[in-house]
Amino acid sequence: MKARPFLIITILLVGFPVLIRDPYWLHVYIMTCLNICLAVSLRVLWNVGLLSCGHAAFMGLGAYTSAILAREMGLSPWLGIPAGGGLAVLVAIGLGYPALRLTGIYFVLVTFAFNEVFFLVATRLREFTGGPSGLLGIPRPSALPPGKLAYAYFVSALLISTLVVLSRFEHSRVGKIWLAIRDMELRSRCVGIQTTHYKLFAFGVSSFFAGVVGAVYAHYIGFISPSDFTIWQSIYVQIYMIVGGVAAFFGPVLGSIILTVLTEFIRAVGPLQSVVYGTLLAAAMLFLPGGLISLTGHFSRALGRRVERHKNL
Amino acid sequence: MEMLQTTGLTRHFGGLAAVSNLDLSVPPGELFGLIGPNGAGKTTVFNLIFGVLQPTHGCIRFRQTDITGAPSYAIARRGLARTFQITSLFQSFSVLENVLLGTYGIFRINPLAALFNTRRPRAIELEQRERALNLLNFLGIERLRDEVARNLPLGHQRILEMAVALAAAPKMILLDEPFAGLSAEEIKEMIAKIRKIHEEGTTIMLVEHNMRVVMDLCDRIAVLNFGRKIAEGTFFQVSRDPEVIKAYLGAKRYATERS
Amino acid sequence: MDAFPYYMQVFTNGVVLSCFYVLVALGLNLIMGIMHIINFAQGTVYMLSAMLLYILGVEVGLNYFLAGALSIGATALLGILMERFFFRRLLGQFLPSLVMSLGLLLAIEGAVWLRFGIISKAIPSVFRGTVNVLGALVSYERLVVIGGGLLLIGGLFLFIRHTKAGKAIRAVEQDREAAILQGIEITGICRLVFIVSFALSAAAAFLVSPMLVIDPNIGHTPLLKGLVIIVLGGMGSVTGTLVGGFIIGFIESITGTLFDPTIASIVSFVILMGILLVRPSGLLPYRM
Repeated sequence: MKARPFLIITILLVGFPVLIRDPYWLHVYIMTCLNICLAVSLRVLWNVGLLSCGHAAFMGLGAYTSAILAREMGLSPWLGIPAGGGLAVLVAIGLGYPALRLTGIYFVLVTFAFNEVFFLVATRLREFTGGPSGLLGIPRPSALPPGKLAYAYFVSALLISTLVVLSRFEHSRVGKIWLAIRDMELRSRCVGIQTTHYKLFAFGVSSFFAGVVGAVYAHYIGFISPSDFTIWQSIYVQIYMIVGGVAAFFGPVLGSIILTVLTEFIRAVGPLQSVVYGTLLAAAMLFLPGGLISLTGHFSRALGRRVERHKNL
Repeated sequence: MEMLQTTGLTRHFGGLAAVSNLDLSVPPGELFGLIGPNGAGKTTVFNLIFGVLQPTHGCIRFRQTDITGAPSYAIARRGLARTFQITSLFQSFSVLENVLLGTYGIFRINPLAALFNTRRPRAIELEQRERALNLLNFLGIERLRDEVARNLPLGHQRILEMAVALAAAPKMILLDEPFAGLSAEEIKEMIAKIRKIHEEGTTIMLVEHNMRVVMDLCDRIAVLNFGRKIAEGTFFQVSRDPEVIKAYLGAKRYATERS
Repeated sequence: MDAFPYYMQVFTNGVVLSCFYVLVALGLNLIMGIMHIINFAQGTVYMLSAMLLYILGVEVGLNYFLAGALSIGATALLGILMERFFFRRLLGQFLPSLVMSLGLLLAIEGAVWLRFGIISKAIPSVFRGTVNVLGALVSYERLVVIGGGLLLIGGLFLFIRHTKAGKAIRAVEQDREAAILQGIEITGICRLVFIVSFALSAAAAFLVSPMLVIDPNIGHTPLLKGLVIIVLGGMGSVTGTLVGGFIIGFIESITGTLFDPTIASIVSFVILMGILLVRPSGLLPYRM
């Protein structure tokens, strides 16, 4: 695993936020970082051959867990955030244990249904989750100084940790096993790899980061509601990942940055965002399945990254 | 003690019996051949042995342990390995990485430990890497170690398939038509490699169409037709069996009538 | 028999919902069976058809039946175009087609929203009045949906079972290679399936639109319910879709009346997850 890209990224993430004066763009920066974490963690599942339509639900699980613990029990967000991630993992394992025996198409549907059920249940359990109007007054982590800049650094730290951890996984033997399972599952099983366990592990890792992002989001905005975690949010994460490119680790990074910033620049809200995202997604599938990152093939080679290896979709 | 033993192995697909009441017995160290006309059920037998398919009836024992219907990964961990008729290499990985993948199922490292890359996992990695290189050397393809699998010519792909299967030093290996589609040169090379593997003491069960190869390599042979065993013995014995001749002639006639 | 009209109401609702969902789900299932992909844009097709009905029937002022015919025709044409320019390119690739259809869903719904706004529209009822069925009042509207729906479903069954084209579709679904060897032209079959599938959704729109609101999001419900139905009934199985559709339609009617629509949806999705985890092949797999 090359250290150089991460050094560059760390420098960017440390230097960048200070340069942003406008609180609005700081907000965009924070949301971009969170989106990157989501997209990169979703790619963990893609690398093991699965597409999840339920990433937002795990985000929601983490968000509600941390928010409720903070509001009802006064639990510090520093504990609540990992707790949110932990609950997401538990649910993922519970759901994954039966679901991961199914092939791709069924897994998509199960996660799809799961996300819907999460949304509907969160809407219904008024006493617990505040229902459609959501939860207000979610506290910030106390140790953080007030203001967006502090949160921007917090989120930067989160992002760099996420990228480092997930990149390590990808380049370790676990990552190779995941790819082997994606390419040739039967073969993997016949050399003694217990593929269901590895898929479960991938699901757990992916969901953990989704849960953590959800919790961090909750403590940032201070308010969450079920409509923050619908299927459409899951699909948006898929779009960041796919349009950016599943072929390389930094594909989802690229996709998240470009799409989040693009959305802000053209002021795409609601329907316009749908049109842009939808068109990009369909176009990517039809014309550039490797995503935008596959265009930078030669560029990355010059920087010493090995995109060559995983060009398969 | 037999290495591999099937008793009354049967598998139905709808109304059809793909494999019917098959008794096989392979002692340790033998190079056993499984032949028969197309569609006789040979690959189905491999899939049954390896837990890819569940038998309808019958029992499979490997080294005295009942492995009937056990999950494939568990069977592999007991020391049984296989290759596939359609090349099933890990296409985007290099030759060396393919062989290493063959070991990952059996010499396992805790996934979270892999994250931290502590001393012990690293030592295991190095050790396995060396063993993999030795294996590649043994099979004569060490110089190809960094080649991407999908770029290899067919003959080398087949050898790599065997290497992946042998990576974790199995006691027995099932070879599914390793000679299909090979040139004369490649066939010679392949025969030499399989002999070498056999000489090392690995038990081999070989499914093959090419009769010269079978005659050359196999200690004993069983002949399948429509899922049933119709003869068993040395090549000499089996090739004179009237039922076997009928089965192959019949298959040939069927083939010529169709064209 | 005080409660009877109440039960009758629930029953009629159940049949109406079932017919509606089955028509759209059949479209999903046919495409699924032939091309092994899920067309997430199926509900969007229904919505587009309803929108077109509104434009032709209300804004332009055409006779409803004429508007319906035009709408169904246009939707069928859309099916041809979509098959040709979108889905054919990704033939055999399950995940990319699925993702692409999601992209289409987003883009089309967004475009419709931009053009027409989010405010729901309504098509005035064409069939007014009610009739007395076994002591309860049932609107003609509903009878039309039930009648038309059952007719179409029956027609589809006959088509699949007894026509040459229908048999060709079944052949392709069961064994693609064998069908090619028999000389069946796959491209033509795919196109036909898209036409039928889209026409069914358009027909559903024609039957149901006067009863419901029209807005860009109305495609979601039939899509989601359709997914539940095809899994419940068995993917690729027309009979299964029918059975599954009626089960879901009635469950929704009953739970929707007893509790509320949210609970009804939750139940549907829990059923979906349950089936996927317990018996993924569905109730009646492989029976066309």
